[in-house]
Amino acid sequence: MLQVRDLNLRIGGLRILSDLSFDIKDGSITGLIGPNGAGKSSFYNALFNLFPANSGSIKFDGIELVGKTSDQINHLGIARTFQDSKLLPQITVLDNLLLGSKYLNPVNLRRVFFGHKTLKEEFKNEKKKAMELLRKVGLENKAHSLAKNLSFGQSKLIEILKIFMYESKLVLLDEPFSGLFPEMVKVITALIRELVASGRTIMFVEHDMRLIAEICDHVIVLDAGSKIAEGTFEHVKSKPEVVEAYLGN
Amino acid sequence: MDYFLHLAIVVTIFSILAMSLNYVAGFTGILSLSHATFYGIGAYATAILTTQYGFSFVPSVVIGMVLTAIIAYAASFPILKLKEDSLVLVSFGFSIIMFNVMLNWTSLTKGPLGIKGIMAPEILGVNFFSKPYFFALVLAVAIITYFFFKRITSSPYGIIMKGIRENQTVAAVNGHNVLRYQRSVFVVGAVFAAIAGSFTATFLAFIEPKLFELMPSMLILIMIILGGMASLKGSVLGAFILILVPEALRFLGLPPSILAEVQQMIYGLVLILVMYLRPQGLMGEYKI
Ligand SMILES: Nc1ncnc2c1ncn2[C@@H]1O[C@H](COP(=O)(O)OP(=O)(O)OP(=O)(O)O)[C@@H](O)[C@H]1O
Ligand SMILES: [Mg+2]
Repeated sequence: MLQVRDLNLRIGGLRILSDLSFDIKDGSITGLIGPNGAGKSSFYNALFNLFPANSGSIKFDGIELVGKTSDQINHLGIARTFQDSKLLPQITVLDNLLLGSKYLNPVNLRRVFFGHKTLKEEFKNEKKKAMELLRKVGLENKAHSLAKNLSFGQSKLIEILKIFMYESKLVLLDEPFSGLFPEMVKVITALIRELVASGRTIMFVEHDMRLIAEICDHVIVLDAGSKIAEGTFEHVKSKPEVVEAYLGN
Repeated sequence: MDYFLHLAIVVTIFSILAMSLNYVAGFTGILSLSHATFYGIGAYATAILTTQYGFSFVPSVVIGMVLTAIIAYAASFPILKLKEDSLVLVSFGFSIIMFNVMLNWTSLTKGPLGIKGIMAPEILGVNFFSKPYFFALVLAVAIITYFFFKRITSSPYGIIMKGIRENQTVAAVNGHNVLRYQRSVFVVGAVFAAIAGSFTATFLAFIEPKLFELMPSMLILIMIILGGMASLKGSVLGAFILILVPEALRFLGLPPSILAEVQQMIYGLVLILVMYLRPQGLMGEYKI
């Protein structure tokens, strides 16, 4: 599904990612781990061309992503969350979800004025879908409040729900569990499993090794921008270089 | 009565300007300081075409709209390339250039002397010279403007506009072509400013470059900040207050020589007070 080959990323002379290569298999859950500053978030940013790669290739279902714009990459079927919640604080929770909708994308003025009927219908359906998602996690009463009024955990939850608004094939999650209470971790774990059950392939960054061991079937370890190990969690955790760079004793 | 109609017309024209700037700045976050420039292009198009080339009002408005769309589209490249503060400054730079074009292309615009003798609109044989008629006409246009923008901003398009305003990276990662939306919004907003310009030209019967420089752009911006960002009704309210309050000063018996200065100081004061006391404006939904 995803093939990364010799990916290099430099920012202001600093090497952020070096000759990174790995594959992600269809339907898998891949954990991306490594110490702070290893380049995990930067890899997501490079994939979405927020940090343009200096060389190398990222192929998604055979299509080259390097050089494409973020919106084009999204249209191919890739969705992501951000490490620090990127819900838009001054619009409503419902609108935040709708912003991730596939069917309202793209909307142009021609549709607003001349395709009004179908657009209205789609809009209604998407709103219904968003409300159902909110209901599922018990946040339907927050639909019309501004996102800035959500708690930290609630906004992380909404970010995951937003993924459901899009029929993405690959989902990149950046520390979806960090800072959450155990109950919320359970809720989000269940949602991730649901994403997998719906046929999506998942990659996620996480520092909690118990969660990695529990959820992932494949793990990639980064250190200082390079891949230092790859395999099942059992496999990578036994490697001395991984223990030294990240896991400690 | 005539005086009140005069004020009502000014308020209505500025409502169109404020709503269209709110579409650009309040909904989409493009804090443009060039709105009065597009207003001016519409005004000059109508003034020049009707006084020098024998055009009637409606075709002159349409040509003004098309011309403005083209210029706004071209200007959107340098302006939208940058973000936030830099964008504001580039839009300001653009308006300085356009102001000087209006001022110095004397063969076309008569420069600082301005263009006199612009006739009242005549549409399908009806002359709109009398103030009640003229007012009815601009009011109709303002109402159409309101519903036009309402339709867009309350559709999913409006959600995307706000998404872009809040965070362009997130909007892009969610699959929205940010620049394409911004460009469309910028051009459409400019075109409505041009319509307001055509009406201003025929209403005043006289225009000069000074009407379209930085200060009017600021005034329109203050109107939407006062009325509230992303609120069309707020824009109308902002126009209403900022036209009428300074007008009330006339009745305080201030000498005309200082009246204009005091009016401008009021605009400044309103801006400062709003930013401190109510940054979301009177009817706005978010803080600037
Ligand atoms: N915008 C930026 N400009 C310059 N350097 C950056 C930028 N973003 C990240 N970096 C650098 O890139 C390196 C990798 O950072 P990145 O955020 O990808 O790490 P990470 O693996 O996600 O770490 P963490 O676990 O702390 O989130 C760090 O050295 C960081 O300082
Ligand atoms: Mg990170």
